[in-house]
Amino acid sequence: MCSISRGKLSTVLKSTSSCIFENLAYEEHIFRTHNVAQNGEILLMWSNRPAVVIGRHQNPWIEVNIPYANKNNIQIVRRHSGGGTVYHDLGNLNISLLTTHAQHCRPKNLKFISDALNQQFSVKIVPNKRDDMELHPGERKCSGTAARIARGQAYHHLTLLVGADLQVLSKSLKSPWRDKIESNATRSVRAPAVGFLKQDDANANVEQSKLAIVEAYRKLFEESHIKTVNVAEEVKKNAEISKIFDELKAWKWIYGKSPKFQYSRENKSIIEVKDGLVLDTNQQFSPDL
Amino acid sequence: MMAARLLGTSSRIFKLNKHLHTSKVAFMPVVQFKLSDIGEGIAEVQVKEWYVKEGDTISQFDKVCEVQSDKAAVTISCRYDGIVKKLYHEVDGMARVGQALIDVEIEGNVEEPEQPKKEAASSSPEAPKSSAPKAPESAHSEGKVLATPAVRRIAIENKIKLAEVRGTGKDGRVLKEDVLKFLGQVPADHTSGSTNIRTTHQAPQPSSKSYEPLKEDVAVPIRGYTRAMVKTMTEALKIPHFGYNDEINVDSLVKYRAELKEFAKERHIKLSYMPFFIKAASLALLEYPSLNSTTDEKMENVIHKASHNICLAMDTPGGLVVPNIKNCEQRSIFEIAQELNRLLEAGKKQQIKREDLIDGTFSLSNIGNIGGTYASPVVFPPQVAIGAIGKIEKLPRFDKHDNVIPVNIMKVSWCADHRVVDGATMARFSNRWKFYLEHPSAMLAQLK
Repeated sequence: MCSISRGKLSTVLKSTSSCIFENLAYEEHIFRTHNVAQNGEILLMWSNRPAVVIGRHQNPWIEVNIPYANKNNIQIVRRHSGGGTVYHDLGNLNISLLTTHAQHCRPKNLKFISDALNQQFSVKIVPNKRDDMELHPGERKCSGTAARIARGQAYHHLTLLVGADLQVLSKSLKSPWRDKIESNATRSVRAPAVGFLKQDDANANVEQSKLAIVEAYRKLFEESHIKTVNVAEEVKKNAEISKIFDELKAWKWIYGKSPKFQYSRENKSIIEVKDGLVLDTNQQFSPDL
Repeated sequence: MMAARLLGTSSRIFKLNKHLHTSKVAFMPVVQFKLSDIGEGIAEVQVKEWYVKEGDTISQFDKVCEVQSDKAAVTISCRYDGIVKKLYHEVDGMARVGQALIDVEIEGNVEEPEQPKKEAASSSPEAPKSSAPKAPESAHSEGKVLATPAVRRIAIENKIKLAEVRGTGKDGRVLKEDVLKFLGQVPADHTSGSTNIRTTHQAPQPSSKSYEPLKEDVAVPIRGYTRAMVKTMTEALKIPHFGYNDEINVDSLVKYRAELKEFAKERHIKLSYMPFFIKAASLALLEYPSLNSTTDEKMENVIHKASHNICLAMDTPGGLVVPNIKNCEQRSIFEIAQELNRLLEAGKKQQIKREDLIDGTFSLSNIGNIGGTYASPVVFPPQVAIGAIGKIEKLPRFDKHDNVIPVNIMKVSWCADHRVVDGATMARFSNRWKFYLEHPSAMLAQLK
């Protein structure tokens, strides 16, 4: 399954942008254009302003409390990888590992990351079978994982809650319409308990977590470079990344990409929605209809 | 005679044309594009989105669909150029790894059944040597070259017109070997490009001749066994090799093998010299177990293996394969011979199983079968030693009375990993092996 040697070369990219769209666009761009077999693996890290990020095949009306998010300036985003919905803010660290398809091994990644953090802080993070990471005792979920595989390459990315406002988190992830929609979209699996590193070690912070993880990552390779990337600038000056950025921001992607579904109104009638549009019309779906 | 033939041909053409027009559609091969292994032991994924529908034209590397397994979103790309004929799953359906995802009608190198065929067919009695697609039963192959999708793919990859390849299979079917041979044959056989071929009896004029390249280079993709060889040999380069050579007097061995021939025949066993070499090696390895070992990745341990799984370098139609005979320490020479024959047969058909390829502990290469005396074999990682056995030849040597006598001599070349094996051990092992072969009675003495 997972082969032993990690390879010779890797690059660590630290993003200066705190915009979720810029970072996801940049991540997708390197996934599509960076040749891992020739130029080595990549570790990309960033933190962004509050956002709720749903998986590729999910339905935002089911997963996100859209009115709450809009009112509180929490961005709603759909990413390219699979899996469930997560809440991000600046107390969260996003980690993305780009490898070849053959070298893609989520358990291996989670192991080196949790080992590094457990050493750095007085916490006990344990990866579980679902590729989540939990703080023990209590099995509080502090990290969620997702992956994307195409054209012989793959990335494994995960969140890491170092500090978090659990109230905002739980409110944003509870949609008022979740029981009114029937769909085959991927449903998020609610964690029984959520936690963050600061709960167990008050000294934990995002910067130090980054350093610990980078240290541990670099040890896996013969040669490793670190670069700080001004992602905002990269998005502006590179036409391809701009295109992905625009795509990510479009209604068509965030809402329109939802697999077809049925919405039961108050009066018990049903609206069918495909590609985000009410069936046989050009009207964008909204629960207010 | 000619007239009759022409008549016969044209009546065939007449029938063919009918056949051709009505079944034109059947001439494009339809290939099942199967869902390839996603990894992580995943057997089933959910189809989430189709990027193509039935009737769409698709090219290699185009996106076919999105599937999801657990947390991974996977984009499946197409391997073929052609037209999508069938989608095997609905959105949200479950697709199994290894099973069909879509059917693609491949744009192949198949001749279209139009006018040109008629002309080709009618010209066949006059020009039996034409390079148009001909097989003994040409009625079948007119307009349709018989070949499996895999063979067509190789042809497409190498930009070959299947019509130009001589098919040697049933009904003139073009087999994989035919295409591979064609690839190799091209420079030699090609008649249309080269005008430098001498057909007269005149002496060649040494006057100014311009040499044009006869044909483009042929890129043979590295596949299958060759690919594995590239990988293994690159690994082997990391090993510091040392060599130790010697010559063995195999007079006794020749005598014993001759004696055993009848007995072996009774048991339906083909007995070559190899089983003796293998058994002798196994006996010697009992005394020098460090040579029957493997190194681990980090060079922290050398694992002396209990089983003597002796690898044999085998030359098959597909290239070099190295299967092994398991537990030679427990097998008799006859039993080793049987296993060897089984592997040789399987090798010829390129049907060697995975169990036969893994867990080898020591290697022997009988290059002497083809020729040669001393050689420089390459250690097969993670093993630590290998021997290459040369041919048996009669050479003059001195006997104990200083007379020159003819002796059957065979040369052996050992190579070992100098990080963990020293010269003295290799030399002693070789001496022991030599002793067994020069004195087969010593092997007899150890029979249980």
